[in-house]
Amino acid sequence: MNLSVGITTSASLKKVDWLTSLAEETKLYRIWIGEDIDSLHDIFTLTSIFLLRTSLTKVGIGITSPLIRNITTIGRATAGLMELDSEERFTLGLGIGGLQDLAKKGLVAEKPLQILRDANYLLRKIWLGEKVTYSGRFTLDGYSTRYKFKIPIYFGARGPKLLELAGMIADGVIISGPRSYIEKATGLVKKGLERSNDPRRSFNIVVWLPTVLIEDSRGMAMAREVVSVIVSDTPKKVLEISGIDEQRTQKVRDAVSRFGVKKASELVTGDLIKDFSIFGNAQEIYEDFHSLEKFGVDEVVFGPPYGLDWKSSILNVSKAWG
Amino acid sequence: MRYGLHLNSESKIDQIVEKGIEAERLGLDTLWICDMPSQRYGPVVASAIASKTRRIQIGLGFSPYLHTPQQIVSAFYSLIGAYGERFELCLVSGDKNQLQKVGILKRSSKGIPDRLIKSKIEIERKSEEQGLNFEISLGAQGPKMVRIAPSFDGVHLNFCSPSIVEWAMNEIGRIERRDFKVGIFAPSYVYTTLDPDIHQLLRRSSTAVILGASDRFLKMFGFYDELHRIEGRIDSSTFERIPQEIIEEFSISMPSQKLKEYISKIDNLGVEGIVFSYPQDYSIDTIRDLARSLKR
Repeated sequence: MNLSVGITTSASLKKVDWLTSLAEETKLYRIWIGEDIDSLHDIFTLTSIFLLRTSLTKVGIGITSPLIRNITTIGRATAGLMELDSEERFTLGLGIGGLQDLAKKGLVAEKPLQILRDANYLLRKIWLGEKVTYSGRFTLDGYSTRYKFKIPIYFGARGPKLLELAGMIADGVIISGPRSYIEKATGLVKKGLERSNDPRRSFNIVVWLPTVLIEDSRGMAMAREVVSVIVSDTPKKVLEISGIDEQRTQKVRDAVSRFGVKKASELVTGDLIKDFSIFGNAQEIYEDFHSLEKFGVDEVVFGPPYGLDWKSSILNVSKAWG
Repeated sequence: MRYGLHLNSESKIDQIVEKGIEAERLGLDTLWICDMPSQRYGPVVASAIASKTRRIQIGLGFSPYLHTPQQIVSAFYSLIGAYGERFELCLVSGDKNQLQKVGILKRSSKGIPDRLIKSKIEIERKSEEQGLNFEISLGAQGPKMVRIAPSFDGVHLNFCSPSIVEWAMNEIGRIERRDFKVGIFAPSYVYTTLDPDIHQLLRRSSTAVILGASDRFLKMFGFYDELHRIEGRIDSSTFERIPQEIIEEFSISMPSQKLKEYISKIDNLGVEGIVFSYPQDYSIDTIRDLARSLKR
């Protein structure tokens, strides 16, 4: 199993600088960059910076939504990213996007299955340089480019149908959700993989969980805040799959929308933290991550907020990894 | 006078970067990357160039029909953060046909100037919030666009004959702001030895600019009737039939020794910069030809 680090487009430039220099030193498998919609960085430009400043570490977008920009922009930008590096270290993660972020932009993710199926189909056509005409959520009229690329697409998926679809048509999947959900989610992905045209193809299961290295009570406060955000953005279907009683999360959800994250975090119980994040000292995090291997997980992502001191948290976890 | 080179992003990124490095070595002031739907994504190309160059200014052309103000600001945030304050922005309406191919339809030509101004204001506001500092110019051709130029930090005119430039300068009027700059951004081929194949590329590139011009603009300068006298449908594939005189109004095509004379003319009109667009970047040699011509 591989250890990767995740950051988002809200990351400070200081963090980006530090992580690019650390990545190769600590032999991180990959840096995943998640898009916080309309935040500081442009996802593609930030990814290019990581690719240009490293030479061994893989770099992935995990994830961007095809709903927030023209599908051809994703096609062109990712083709450019693939071109930056002869080792083909780049991977594209596609997902619908955070429901609250999309809602803020007035976007509705109706028929998510269809959206990702279409985006996957169109991007692969665009990367082959084919002339594409398509209508629906994405409209193209005789569009073509002059390049030929094969870029791995991972789906950031949560609902059961999307997880199965990932197994059927994607090159990998990025799973994020409560701990009890991971086992069931990987099972659904494998079911999709079995049903696909090529069940024996290379397929990577990535688990990205918010992780907090905790050294004192301030770390717990941080974990509470993170969990309150996750809880408020977790679809009911995911809770169902996880076997988590919706009642346990309802108060937190309501509080996030009414009073904000800080206040809502006071309602986050120890059990919720356990269910929705990975936390503890470096050794405990290492063990927690490794416990996922039995579900067929190939790669774990040490994701934000990392810990109170993010630098030492990342260093300590990567040291524990060995 | 500042000199820039537009790098066509249809080429492979390593080739574009190589040309960018050479342009910097030769002392050009600016490299321009235009984010068009059929080409490589501008900010990624700009990032690759910036990572291998040190001082050259890098301009990015964006259409607000394809990117939101926030997306544009985010790209500048990443670029400036990683490579320093050497980026500038040019807002353009974008090629109608190319935008239609990617599903961006039915924009009213009346609404374009308004959309560009609103985008500029929004970009300026958001970039100020992020503590970013970069110039925002306008890519303009027709009278409506030229007239809104004073709302920007500068304008790049998509034509180059001194007579049309003079018209544009009069339209823009006297601008008291010292930082407002007028430049020319046009298909170019300045050569020491004419290569007919590259000259054909220039004609093709100029044709695309001409076909993108509004009827009103073409009528103002007497091109409309001339173009419509040509038999059959004129499109980018029939560029050979566009009269050379019209091509010359929209492109800088001349032997090396004539460039200084041309620059002197437009300098006298108040133009402060020229961006030599495709196919001047055709090869390292054509870039060197340009640099030599500028130093004559």
